[in-house]
Amino acid sequence: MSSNPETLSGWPIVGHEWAVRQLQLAVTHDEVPHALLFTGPESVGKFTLARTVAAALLCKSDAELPPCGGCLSCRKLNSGNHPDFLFIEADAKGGALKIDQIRDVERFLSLTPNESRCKVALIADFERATIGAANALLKTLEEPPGYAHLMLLAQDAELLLPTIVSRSRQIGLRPLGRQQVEEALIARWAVAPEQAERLARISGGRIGWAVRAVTDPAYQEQMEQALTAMLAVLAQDLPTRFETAQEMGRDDAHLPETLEYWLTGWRDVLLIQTDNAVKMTYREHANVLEKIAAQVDVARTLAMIQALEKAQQALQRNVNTQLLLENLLLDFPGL
Amino acid sequence: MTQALYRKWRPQTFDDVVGQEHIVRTLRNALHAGHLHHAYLLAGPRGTGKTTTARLIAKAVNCLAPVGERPCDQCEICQAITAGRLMDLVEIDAASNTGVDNIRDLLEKVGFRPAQAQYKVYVVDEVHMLSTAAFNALLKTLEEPPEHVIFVLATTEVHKIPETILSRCQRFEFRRIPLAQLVGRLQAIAEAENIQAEQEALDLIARAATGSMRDAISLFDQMAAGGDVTADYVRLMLGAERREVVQSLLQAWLAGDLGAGVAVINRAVDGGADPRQLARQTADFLRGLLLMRLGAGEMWTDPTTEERPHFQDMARAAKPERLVAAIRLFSQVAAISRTGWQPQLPLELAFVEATLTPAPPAAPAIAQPVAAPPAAAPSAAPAPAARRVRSVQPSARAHTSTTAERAKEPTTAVEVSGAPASAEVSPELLSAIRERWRQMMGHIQSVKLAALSRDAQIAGVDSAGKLVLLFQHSFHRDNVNQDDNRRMLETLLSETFKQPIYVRCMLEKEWETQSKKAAAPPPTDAGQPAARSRTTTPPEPPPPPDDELVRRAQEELGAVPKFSE
Repeated sequence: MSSNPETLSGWPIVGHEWAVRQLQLAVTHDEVPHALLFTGPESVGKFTLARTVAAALLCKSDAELPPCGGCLSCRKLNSGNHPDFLFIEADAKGGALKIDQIRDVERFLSLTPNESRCKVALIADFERATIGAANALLKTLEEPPGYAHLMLLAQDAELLLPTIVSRSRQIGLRPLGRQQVEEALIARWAVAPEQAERLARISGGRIGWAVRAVTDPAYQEQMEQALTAMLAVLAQDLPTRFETAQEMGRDDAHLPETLEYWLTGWRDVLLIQTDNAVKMTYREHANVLEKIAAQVDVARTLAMIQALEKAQQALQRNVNTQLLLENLLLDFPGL
Repeated sequence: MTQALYRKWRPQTFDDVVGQEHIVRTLRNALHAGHLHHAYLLAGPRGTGKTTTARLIAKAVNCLAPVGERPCDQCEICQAITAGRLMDLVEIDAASNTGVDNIRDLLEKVGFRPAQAQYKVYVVDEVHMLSTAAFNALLKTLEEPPEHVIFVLATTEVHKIPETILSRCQRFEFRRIPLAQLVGRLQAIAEAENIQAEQEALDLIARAATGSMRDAISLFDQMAAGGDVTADYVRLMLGAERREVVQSLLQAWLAGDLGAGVAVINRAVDGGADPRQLARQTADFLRGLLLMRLGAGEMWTDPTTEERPHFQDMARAAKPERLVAAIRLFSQVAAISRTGWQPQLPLELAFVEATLTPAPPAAPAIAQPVAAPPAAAPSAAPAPAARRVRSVQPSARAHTSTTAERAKEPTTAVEVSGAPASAEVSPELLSAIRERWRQMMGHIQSVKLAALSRDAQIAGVDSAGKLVLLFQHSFHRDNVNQDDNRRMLETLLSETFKQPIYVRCMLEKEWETQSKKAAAPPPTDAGQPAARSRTTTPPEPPPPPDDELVRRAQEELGAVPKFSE
């Protein structure tokens, strides 16, 4: 979290102007709702925004627009040991948010603030809350103590209990526009224009991904590898595909991302086939993708995308990855 | 810190309660007559007034004013309840205190007389979350509580409440609040809070709330935080699109114009539309068109009189089956949440699929060949037919196309038109069997048998009038030839086609050495698209095995080569 905003537009958030304005107004008028629900795809800015609001609520300075970034409260929050701030997230990758964690939140909120004038609990991945956990939060969410603020983060409001959504003020963040991401990368992260354009395009509006891709070259490499692999598979014969499936199956930590990249690639094929090539993501691979588009028909592309989506779902259900991949690779056309 | 609007505006008297007149009337009557029940169950969707009514009951039974004016919201008791500090009103969050011990604690204290008020009221909210043991612990007391105790249980999920509990309570069903009443309340709040709000905006908000007052007020709260509540702003925030967008999307669908439709979707989403909301709106619009097409256009109340003729034309241009299929596709998009990188992809897919597929095939009458029904829109042939070069057909999974999936749906009763009554297997029957083979495999009880027979070739009829099934490997043939398996197949065939059919299992090699009689597939076969049931190899010799891979695949994996046109 960066600090020292001087003006009303000073929060370190890229995009989502309407949300930022709304929340800034709320902060300065002391009218922040007791229950906020931030929704949106991953890496689009939910956490950053929620954390900024939390910092603003806890900030002890008299700044016109908190958070100031300099006071004791802001510094404690930055270093992760503010006594009036609690952050809860689901265990590990794919784990669930459990009822005990919610009980921790309730206990935390039932005690009056230590230092600041309010207490803030931020719960991430709420779509992964068990039913018991979600229900347990209901009463607290509806009528928390006056000094308490709850912030929930979730991918999509429809994944949550309607009774939860109903009790919260929803801030629905959507993927940013390409241009916005591009400009932000150039202005704030000093990225070269060409690179910025490319990353912005590929990020699909996820500023978090773009920033990570800038700071961690492995990200981009991984994507390139995934694409190369996909193109290779198309030309491979059956036994080789089985080998590929085996190899890929070994490295299944990266599999979800790989499938996403492939999905994006095939969507590009569909866009080409429906005369919407201008909307392509992987423009650098336009030649190859166009060739594919010419050799396969639309119905087949459709089937391919559906197969990939099924594979993604199956992956979430802990299917044997090698079998999954074998099935998937067999579905690829042979070109 | 100000309160959320829905808390501030929670009704504090019966008069303020919106949309549950039947409940309010009953309660008032009960109060007047002094006929109070000792246990109430308030059930219904979220945000319709359950917690509010529970508290009002607590007020009404304890209010110090004369019976006709209860609850007065003025007396000491009413004020205490409004402020949440009456000790004799015990609100329990059953979702956090789900265990039997929590309930036992509660029950221990039930015997004590109220401190201030006449009745001690226990409000158990979200009661569906209690464990079974907790429910059971509650039973006795719920049946016959002390005379100074009233229980009010509230839940959104009444189906999770055990019968034993239900029978001990007087049940009130809260219904979804009608649009007009939601709008009315919002208007009142807007006026009182001095918020400028357009009528259309309130209407949009009320629609989005789907019957929940709290949702409506929360949404309104959110909109109001951005200044004046205009219809445009509300649409922006809800990700709702103007009807024109939905219309152009559907025009593209009718015209079979893939490019235009995908472009419309992308433009809308880039402009801030929420893909799922757009899908929902599209499904709604299609539903309206379907109503018009079926002659029930008056039930579609959205369009203005000026718009109706235009929509009528659109409705006429589409076949009902296509409309139904499209509605399903778009509704699915609306229902399923996709948290991937391309949020508009499901919508694009639904559109492409809806445009490509003609009306789903009705259960084909046996005698007719399968023809792709000519649809109004220029559509590509079903996916399997259009598949190009596929050097190998690996497995049954090859058919990921929608037509194959649809073929698996339980069709209406099998029509047997023109099937000969004798035990002979006519050419028409043969082709029918071929078409329906895959589908029938779905109905076989034994998964193993289905897997073994699925790829069997239906060669034809032998001299004894038996249906000949060809297998690549003796393993498959022997298994299927086992008595119970074979009989299962025969039963299925006989029942499906309403005539006795017997089966003979052979190896392909054996069949070929026999003279090919009427085993040459009937002419109708060749013209069909790669069959619903399986990709039949045309009666051509297999490719020369000089292609190492093909030979290996055939031998080792039992693959069947398929040739494209």
